Amino acid sequence: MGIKERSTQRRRGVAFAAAALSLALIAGACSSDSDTEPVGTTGASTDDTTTVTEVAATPVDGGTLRYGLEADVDGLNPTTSAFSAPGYVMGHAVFDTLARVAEDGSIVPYLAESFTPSADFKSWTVKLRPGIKFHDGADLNADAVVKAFLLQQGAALVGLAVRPFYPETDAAVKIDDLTVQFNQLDANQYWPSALTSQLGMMPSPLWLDAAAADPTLNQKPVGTGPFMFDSRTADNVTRFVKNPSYWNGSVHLDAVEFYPVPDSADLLDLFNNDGLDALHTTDQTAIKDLKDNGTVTNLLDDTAEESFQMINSQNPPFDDVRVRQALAYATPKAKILELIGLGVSRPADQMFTPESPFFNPAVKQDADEPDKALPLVAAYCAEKGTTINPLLNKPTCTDGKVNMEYQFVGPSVVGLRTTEIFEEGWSVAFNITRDEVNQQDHIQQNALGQSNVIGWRQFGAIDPWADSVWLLCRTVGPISLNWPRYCDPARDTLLLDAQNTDDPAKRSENYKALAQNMHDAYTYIFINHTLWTNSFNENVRGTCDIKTLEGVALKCSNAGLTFLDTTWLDQ
Amino acid sequence: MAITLLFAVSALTFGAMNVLGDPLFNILGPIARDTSNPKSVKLIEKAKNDYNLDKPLPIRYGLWISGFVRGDMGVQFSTDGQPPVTELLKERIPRTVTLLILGQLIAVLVSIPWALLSASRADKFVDRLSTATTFMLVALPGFALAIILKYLFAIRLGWFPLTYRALDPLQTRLFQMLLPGFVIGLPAAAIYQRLLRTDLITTLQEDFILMARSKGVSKPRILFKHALRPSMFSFITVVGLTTGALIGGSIVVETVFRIPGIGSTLVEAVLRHDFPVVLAIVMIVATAFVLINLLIDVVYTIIDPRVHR
Repeated sequence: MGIKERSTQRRRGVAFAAAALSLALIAGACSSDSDTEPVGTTGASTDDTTTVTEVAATPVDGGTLRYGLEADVDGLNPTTSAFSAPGYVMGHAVFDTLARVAEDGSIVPYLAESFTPSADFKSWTVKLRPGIKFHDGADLNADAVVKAFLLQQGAALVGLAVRPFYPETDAAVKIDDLTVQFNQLDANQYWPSALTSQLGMMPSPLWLDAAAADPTLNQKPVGTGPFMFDSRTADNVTRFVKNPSYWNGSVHLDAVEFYPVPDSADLLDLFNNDGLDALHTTDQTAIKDLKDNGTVTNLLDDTAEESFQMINSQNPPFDDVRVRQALAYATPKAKILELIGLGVSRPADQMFTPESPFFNPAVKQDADEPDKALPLVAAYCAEKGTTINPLLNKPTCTDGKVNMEYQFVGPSVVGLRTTEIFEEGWSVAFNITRDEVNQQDHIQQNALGQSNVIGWRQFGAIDPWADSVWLLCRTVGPISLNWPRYCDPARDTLLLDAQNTDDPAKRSENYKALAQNMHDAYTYIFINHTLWTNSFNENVRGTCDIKTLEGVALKCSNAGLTFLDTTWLDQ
Repeated sequence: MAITLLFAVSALTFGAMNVLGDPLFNILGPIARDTSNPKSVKLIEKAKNDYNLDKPLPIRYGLWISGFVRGDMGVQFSTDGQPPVTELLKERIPRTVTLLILGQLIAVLVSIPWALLSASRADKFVDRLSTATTFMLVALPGFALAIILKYLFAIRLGWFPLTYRALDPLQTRLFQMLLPGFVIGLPAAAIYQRLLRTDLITTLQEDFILMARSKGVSKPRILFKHALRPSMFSFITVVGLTTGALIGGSIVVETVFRIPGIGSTLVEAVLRHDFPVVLAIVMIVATAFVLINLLIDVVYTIIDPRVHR
């Protein structure tokens, strides 16, 4: 019986908002080698604090694992569907990725046999393992890989996260039946981490063709993974059954069923009342309960997402750094952490956790100093107070305060309470108009720049290079993944240089400078490191026993996603 | 009359759905505004063509309504290959219908004996207690009752499953719907009980009841054989009318108990701005409401032939 309590600090490239636009596709990691051995260590992943008490036992075959998800997904096609954490959990059951993250944070080949960079690190050659077949009998070969990549690159929304990094033509080229060359726009020594995420998921080419003709097949995925699609009732249950001829060892579970339960109290009730065997959640109250339950295995991770307030710097009044800075000063961060965070999650000052080699201790998030906001706002209003805020269609200042809109996701009681606390703090210098929208609108409006200030979660890529999609000048556009729409060529230089050096000190220096740069721009007000848990009831075993064919132990959980390849039920 | 009503509902709903919000944006999201990108422009053109968005509103309405009457309710607003609306509803309607039948069955089976008991002991303690209970059930919002019953009987006592599971065998799924059925049925039972009790008390004061009593007919026989049938008129009317309200109630119940029926589908579709789904469900509910009321008219004539005359 395994009793396991983990506090892990890991990086990954799945973001809450990113999920919606499949931006985690480009999750990255360090790598500087080119063979089947681990290709480097994850620069930002450090210091796992793990206390494990586990009794060795022989896996038992059979049984159905019931897994509770925080939401359902629109589809399960990695080339067209936006994968959020629930999408990743389900996706990883059916699809294998070309690379995986090893337990030590390095990136190792999985479906691939090796990755080899060109001399200038602008191209990477990926060699596939021979003899792997998709569930429908198709071969995993170079054609399948190229097809999957090009479809993702060309996809309207999913491709938004891919296109900024690859040329329009010849981004993926077949070299021979088992070899593909990927060509990038920039040199990148840490590129293989991109293959651990949605971009690296390999769907069957036959299925992709069929799904193009009949889009309903996007709900019925076909991959090479440990489980095969069985049935799906949207918003209720998705069932996969064991792949009897899985290429990487035998699968113990007969089936796995995924239940989307958006209400976290319901999710916890089901888990506690034998309605579920496993779940994932970011709900602080639920995590507190789960941590207090001695029989539950919690795989905790607060390194893969940051919670923050994000400011659109494109339009008045927030195109002026004084207003952004004033908002930061007026932010009641301590109160939010106490009342909403419940002391469960750690405060954040930047996009790196303190254990990261890229963490800059000099960077402190300005907040909880409303007095400092007043002179900044007064100066702005005196100078530009009659300018129009295009979002609100009224002057930027009224009665000496800045007019702004705050957008948050609803309906949500927690969201409303959080908003009220923020408003209480900001109201010393700001007149706030609330805009409560559903999640889809929240993401879409933000992508289109139709916001002033919003609550958001992202960052935490396996390697920080992958977070550049949120930060580079090139991702500012009509549909912007650089959500604050803030372009700083000096920041671009820091990012691109950091991904093309094998000197750890230089990398660290660059990312520390990046943290300072982001702080000084005041487009993000960091609040806390988002804490995820993947929790398992005491009868669920073996989840962390996954290895590559070469015997390299793999990470079994990461920011809400987990792998069920080796999971079994102690019935 | 019924057909005119349905046309009015369809026209109003279709108009509202197309006026409130940009359908193109709801289909494509930010791509709908990305007119500088040739790839996005292609998608915009395709969506306009697929959903007839390049045609005037009356033409679109005509195309939609003609498709609807032929059973083609269009395609969900999604680029991820969601099934056509007809397929989606084919899967979901049976669950809601089952839930409603179960709810009505529980309401009727609970309310009739309850009303008979109250009427036979009018103004006594049992009657007063049942009056207080009915008021409480009627006053309690559906979501509160759902949460209370779920907490008591599923979480604390564990007598019922917490949620519905679409993959289970029919018998298990029916059992999973029992608690949601009570959530729907109990408030309805309270209303039926109040009406039937009142009518029964009135009937019990009629001369023919006095005659039966004077003949020495037993009290249960008087209640069941002589008083119940003539007291059922308003009861049946309300059962019919309440069906519409129960469909509304199913939205809450399906959401709380995670039953993928048309109620929960409607909520999700509204949140996603998925107009074809919203339209189809509104029309189906309206049609069901009209048909049920027609059916009630027929039942009237059976119970009281004077209506026919």
